[in-house]
Amino acid sequence: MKVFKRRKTAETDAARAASLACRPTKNPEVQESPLDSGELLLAYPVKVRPWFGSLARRLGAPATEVQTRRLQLDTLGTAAWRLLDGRRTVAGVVRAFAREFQLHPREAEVSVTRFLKELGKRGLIGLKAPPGELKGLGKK
Amino acid sequence: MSPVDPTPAADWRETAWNGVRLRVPARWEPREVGRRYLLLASPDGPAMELRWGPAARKHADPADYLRRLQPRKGPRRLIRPIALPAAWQKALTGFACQGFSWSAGGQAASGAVLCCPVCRKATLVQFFHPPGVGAGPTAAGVLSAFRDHGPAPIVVYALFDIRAEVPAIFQLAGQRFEAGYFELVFKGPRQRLVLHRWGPAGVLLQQTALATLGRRLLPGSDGRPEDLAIGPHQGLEWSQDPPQRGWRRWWGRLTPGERYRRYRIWHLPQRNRLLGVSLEGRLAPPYPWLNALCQAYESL
Repeated sequence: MKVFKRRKTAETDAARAASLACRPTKNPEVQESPLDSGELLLAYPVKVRPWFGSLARRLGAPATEVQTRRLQLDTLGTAAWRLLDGRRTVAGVVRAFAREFQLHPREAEVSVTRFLKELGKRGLIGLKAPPGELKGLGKK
Repeated sequence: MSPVDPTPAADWRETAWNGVRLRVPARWEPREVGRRYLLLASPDGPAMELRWGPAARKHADPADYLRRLQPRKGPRRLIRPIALPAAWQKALTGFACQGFSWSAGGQAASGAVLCCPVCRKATLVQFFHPPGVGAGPTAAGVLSAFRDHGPAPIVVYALFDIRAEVPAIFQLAGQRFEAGYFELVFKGPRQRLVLHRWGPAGVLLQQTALATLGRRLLPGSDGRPEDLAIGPHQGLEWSQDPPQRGWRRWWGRLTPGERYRRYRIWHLPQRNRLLGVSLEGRLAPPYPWLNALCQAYESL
């Protein structure tokens, strides 16, 4: 029984707490279009990579540096997106999401943080860290 | 809330996993789950670790297990055998116990190795706390409700928001706890049992009927389902039995694979959950325990 193996729980707990204290803020350039189903379609600008832009120009496409991409959110994604008001922290969004769908808090935390991570990768949101909490965020 | 802080009597809940049952503060959530392992954590960090397995003999010495736990290489943490606190001794009557504590790198824990002479199980339980502070009254409260075997031929599973009473003939073979889907897999004599839990049901059933969704979620559930009442809830059941006549009957007996299948799914509107049970195997019906299992299977 390897009970006393070294754990990283203290570090990961600190990083988790720091991440949950951040405030997700929507990118103001994102445009929301509600669909008939009640879900949302997000349109967001993406900078075209130079090599791709030059290739597109050679193929006769209009020379644009910025492209618009679209992302359709499902019911849960739409609900989570609507909870991002710039005031709630990630923990607050998780709590509200769990309450809305009667989810287990841990389950809501996993799904909301995964969703926010995906939005962050696409540049749809930014995370505002509370002062003094930036240190823990860099650690894995 | 760490084991150091006292916990109000109302804020406790049952946690049961693969033969082990205890009551823990409601804020302690499972962080890691293994077949014979549980790590419970409070929002402040890890709170309790539980590890168990079959003991070598009926009257196994817990001090032997503790000696084996001393790390042989790497950074040494001194695991000190200690006398059990009086509250722990009172809580652990019936077990052969050896207390221990360790402290290293800003972490510390106090715990005990328990050997049960009745079910021949060896259990290691430890409570994490800041160095220099012992485990408080909450730890004694947890240990007072600790049980490693039950009188009935059922094994209780109560983790996160699900609770199930599974016949003891089924052994836990695997588990999945993902956002939106929980699964417990059991293997029994010539049978395989799977408990499912999906959520949120309101979203899953938004534009789909339960029968269509059940066919999608329960692989193997073909054909027309029958209506089935599971307690106060309405559900569906798909059953598939092998042909009882002709050459196909003999062919089925000679070829491997499950021959009898039962798939059940039901909706818990108040909890916004869908629960399901899959039973596959070569054992012919009736399954008298299946209805009791479904009725006791709940989302808390």
